[in-house]
Amino acid sequence: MSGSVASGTPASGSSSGRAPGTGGLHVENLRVAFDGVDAVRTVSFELAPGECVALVGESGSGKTVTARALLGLSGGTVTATRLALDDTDLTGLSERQWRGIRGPRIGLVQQDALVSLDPLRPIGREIDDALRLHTTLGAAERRERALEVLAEVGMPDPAIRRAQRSGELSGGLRQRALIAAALALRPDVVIADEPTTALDAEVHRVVIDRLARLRDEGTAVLAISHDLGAVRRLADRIVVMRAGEVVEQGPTAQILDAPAHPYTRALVAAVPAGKPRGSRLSVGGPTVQNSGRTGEKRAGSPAKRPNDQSSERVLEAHGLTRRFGTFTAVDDVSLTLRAGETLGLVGASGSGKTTTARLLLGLDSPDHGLVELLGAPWNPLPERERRPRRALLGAIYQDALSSFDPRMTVGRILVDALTNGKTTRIRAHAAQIDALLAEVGLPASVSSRLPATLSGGQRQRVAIARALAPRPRVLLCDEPVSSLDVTVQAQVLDLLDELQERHGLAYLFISHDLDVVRHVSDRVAVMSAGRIVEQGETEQVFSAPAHSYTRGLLAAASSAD
Amino acid sequence: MGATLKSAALKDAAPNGAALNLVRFIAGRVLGALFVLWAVATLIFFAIRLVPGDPAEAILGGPGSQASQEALDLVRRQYGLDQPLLVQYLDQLGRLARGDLGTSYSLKQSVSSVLAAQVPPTLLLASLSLVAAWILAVGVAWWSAGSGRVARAVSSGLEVVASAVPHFLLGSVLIVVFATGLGLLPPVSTGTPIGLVLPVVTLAVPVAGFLGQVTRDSLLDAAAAPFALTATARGEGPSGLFWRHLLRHAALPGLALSGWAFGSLLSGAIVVESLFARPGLGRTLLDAVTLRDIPLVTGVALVSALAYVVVVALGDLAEKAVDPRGQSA
Repeated sequence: MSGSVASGTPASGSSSGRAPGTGGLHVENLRVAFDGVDAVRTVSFELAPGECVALVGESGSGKTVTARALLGLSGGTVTATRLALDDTDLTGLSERQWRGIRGPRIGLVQQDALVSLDPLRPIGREIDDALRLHTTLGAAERRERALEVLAEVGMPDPAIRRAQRSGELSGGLRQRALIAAALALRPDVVIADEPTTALDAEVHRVVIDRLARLRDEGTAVLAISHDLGAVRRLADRIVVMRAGEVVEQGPTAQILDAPAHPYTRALVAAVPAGKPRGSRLSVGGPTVQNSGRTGEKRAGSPAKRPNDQSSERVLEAHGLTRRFGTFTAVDDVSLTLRAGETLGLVGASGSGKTTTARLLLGLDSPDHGLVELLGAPWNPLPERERRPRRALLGAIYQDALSSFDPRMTVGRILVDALTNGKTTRIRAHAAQIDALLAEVGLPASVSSRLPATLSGGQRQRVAIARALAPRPRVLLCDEPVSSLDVTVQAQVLDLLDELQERHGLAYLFISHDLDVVRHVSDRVAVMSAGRIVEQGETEQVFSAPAHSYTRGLLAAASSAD
Repeated sequence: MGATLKSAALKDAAPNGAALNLVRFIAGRVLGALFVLWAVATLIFFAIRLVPGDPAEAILGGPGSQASQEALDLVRRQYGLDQPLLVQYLDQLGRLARGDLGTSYSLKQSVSSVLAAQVPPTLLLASLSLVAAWILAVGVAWWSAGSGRVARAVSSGLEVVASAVPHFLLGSVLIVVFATGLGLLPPVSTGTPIGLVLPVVTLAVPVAGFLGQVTRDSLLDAAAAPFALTATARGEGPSGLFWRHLLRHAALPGLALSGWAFGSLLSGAIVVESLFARPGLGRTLLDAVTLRDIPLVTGVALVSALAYVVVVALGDLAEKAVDPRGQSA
């Protein structure tokens, strides 16, 4: 759908009435320093009206600092040989002058509208604020304009929604409200900072569509994203950043299909979309931060996987149902997990994935149905009888950091897991700890660190090591890579794959990211409104979905490619 | 699937029956208040019996009065003090339920009329002090939020000192400086508005210190939240950001503490009313306890408890008004 947009060409016939071609954002040798240390340096790019440029790179690469510098909000010392919007020089503006730029000239859309809109105020007030600050419109006119903008972003019943707060809206609606608040003043440039992160496929598509339309109508869009699928759909040109510098920039197709810089190549290779099960995503070299891992079997070596009916059934659910009041969160769910296989579980937020996981883990009891672990009853069962077998079932979560006691070192965390909390003496178990850390690709020195001092990828590795410590047969992975950068995600997915092969682990892999699920899963179960609507071999479900819900889910996601 | 998502979204928009919620809230609070009053009356009744000394003696003018045995017996019969404790207790509850607070032993007039005279000055003092404490706390928070690290450190230091300083010390210093030294304000509360300044400041400063500390913490959290960046990125200036966005978030923990703050103002009033020679509940209570005037102590305790319950309920309502989230939950 985006293929028709010629790269770099300013859109003609813009509907917003701006003179095309003349304006745009000019950035030349931008440098942002904090306490004398450069966070961003020698960044240069152009952004024309009707064009979308994407800034991509890992966290800490300077994307967000660059974007905020364009709003005068970086918080550091900004210098540039040229930083201009149309004919307005943006260097050396006073705070008061910046306030005239922010809003009517340059708008900002952040990620996660739940907290990016004031949670205590109705969304209509947020839009009203922008109009009150920058226009002379009366209250009635502003209300009219707010309704208009809400309708423009596809908000149903704008008159009702206007009076609601972000917490009262669904994820998709509140993200639309956030965009509407930025568009109310029709800015020349819209900066979208990770606008699709953590959104369901459906909402993701809506947001991308809306930004694409904005670009087509003549607005300059600067998109910051680590989601290369979204970038491909939206951006005309891509600027690749790493460690505060631009390593490569060019037209979207060129950057994504024929990346020149090794870093860009690693970034592109890390995207799981279209990579078959078992093939490696992470590349050696500069992106691999953890040197503990040796041996690089780069090529895809899809080992023989015991995914047929012969291997042992390790975890089975029969007709699980769980109600909360009148709400049925999980409705007659049955599934089987065999040794050495990965079952992907997908569905929109609120479809019952996490409740299912809690029932499988024995953290919650079903109203009907039962769970069997290695052929023996598991849930419902008194916790006392479950406890001796808890070691067989491990779990890792999206937010590894909050799953650790922040005052325990990594060594303590692992001793705790190895000995089931019976001892805190790290020395006695040093060899086991080192072996565990080596297994997840971390150096032994990590043992003395606190989780908060580790990177996101390292934390998830520690979480995996902890889950492996009691030698489980099954690992429940609940969105384990959702908050990681794409390159780190690739490393963690590769690690999980290796471990599965080595130990014959069975994974239940829950994710909203269909590309990731397709890459890791042997079989897939699709959940909607508490029920499993479809279950089958991964390729079969993805290429020939039988249920209409699955087709909708896939259509929403695949339109991003 | 679009239909599923939409219906899920619409469910959030169902009318929340705010009026019904309010009725339920008030009914709950009234029941709660009755329970608290009963508990206070019971506690006071038994606690005061644990204090050594003879109530009959207190009625006749205290231990030094050398009352004759006949007089004591007469008083005991008259006041029902010769009855078993349980009978006395039920008797007392019955009278309280009818709204009869009895007669003060020491003042020889009905407790209700004593309270009617003494409650308004104290309520005025405490309410003004609470308002003044909020103005001080928010003012300091506003000033330090817009300023640098030094201003923040200074104001946070001031707040610690303010919340730690005892009323009698602060009041004495204020009298010495502003009344005796500069002669700007009267040292004794005269009943004019100007006479209220020093007592109100004395009571307000420690509470302002507490409120300021919790307000600043949540103010900094709110200022670092993404919605603050969104507002700034649409051209909102620092004062607009503070008044329209941050203050609501920053005030929440302080509002939750306001009930407690009012309670501490009531107990602080005991000291401040004596210090500035003001009439009020505090001094009445002090005198009543000293003279073992059981009906008056009970009356003051009940009125204070009632005021506390009302203020806590008002604080909760204010909190709901500022943060309507999770009302239906």
